[in-house]
Amino acid sequence: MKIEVKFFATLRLYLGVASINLECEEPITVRELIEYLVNKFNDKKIKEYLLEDGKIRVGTMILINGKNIIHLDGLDTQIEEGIISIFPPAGGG
Amino acid sequence: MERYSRHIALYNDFEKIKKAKILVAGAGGLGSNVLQNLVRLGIGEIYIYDDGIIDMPDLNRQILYTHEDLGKEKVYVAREKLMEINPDVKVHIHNERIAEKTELPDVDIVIDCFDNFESRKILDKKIHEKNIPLIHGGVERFYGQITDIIPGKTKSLNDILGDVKDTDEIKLVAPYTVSIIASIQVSEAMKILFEDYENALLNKLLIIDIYFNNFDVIELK
Repeated sequence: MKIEVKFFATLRLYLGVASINLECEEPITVRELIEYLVNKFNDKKIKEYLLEDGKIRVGTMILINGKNIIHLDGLDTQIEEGIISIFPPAGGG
Repeated sequence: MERYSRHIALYNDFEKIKKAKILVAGAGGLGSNVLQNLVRLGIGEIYIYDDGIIDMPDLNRQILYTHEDLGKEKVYVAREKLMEINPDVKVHIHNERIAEKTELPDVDIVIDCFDNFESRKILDKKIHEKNIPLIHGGVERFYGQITDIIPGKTKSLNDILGDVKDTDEIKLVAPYTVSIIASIQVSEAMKILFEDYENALLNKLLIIDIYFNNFDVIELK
């Protein structure tokens, strides 16, 4: 299963990459994907950036193939394949 | 019509623009850029809602206002400046915040130029009640996002963004990022006005990051 994780705006700036590709033999959850990112970049701050009190951090959008995970099973949503977009929607005007 | 001679031929029915009624929610950074474009285009009637006062930090991006305007109420200054640009446009001002009790006027399109998510949630609800298309835009730092909401045809803004909340953090924003996001909002408003749904951002989220020169369209499902 091929998964592309795309990082936008401040997270892209922080990580220094626009996207990463990974292949999994079995579906993984969003929570597991975040653990994978922490290990891959060897940076625990990624977790602080994406999570707050064990939930998705306020101000972070995670889309699986264009669907916001809050309308799926949140952090327990299974990712099979496709594109994961992680984006902090801009609130200013 | 000499005023519009450099763009009139770009549209197959300019009367639509002249007769259009557009509401601009917020007359700050996005709002003042959007408003200036709308009056230069020749939109028939414009409605502005904002209860703000012009402060010093506004002047980095709120292009309708100058140092002389500090301390004044935004909507009055905005109308004066817009009428100077094009006196043929009707500008209706509402020195108030769009709240739950606000009755939106009958307009063709609403453009979201707010600077916070709480106001956007109310606006999303209001446009669904009145069945009015909404052009959403948000901007921070060097990036922003735009999407078009048409009640009954697309997801709501709340569906797309989720229950996103405001933080106390002061939002940083580069002046030129605001102009880009605002220009695209006006471009989308024209597509919706002319019912060019194929090219409009319906169920699509455009994310622009000018730091990386990145334009991404995410298909929303």
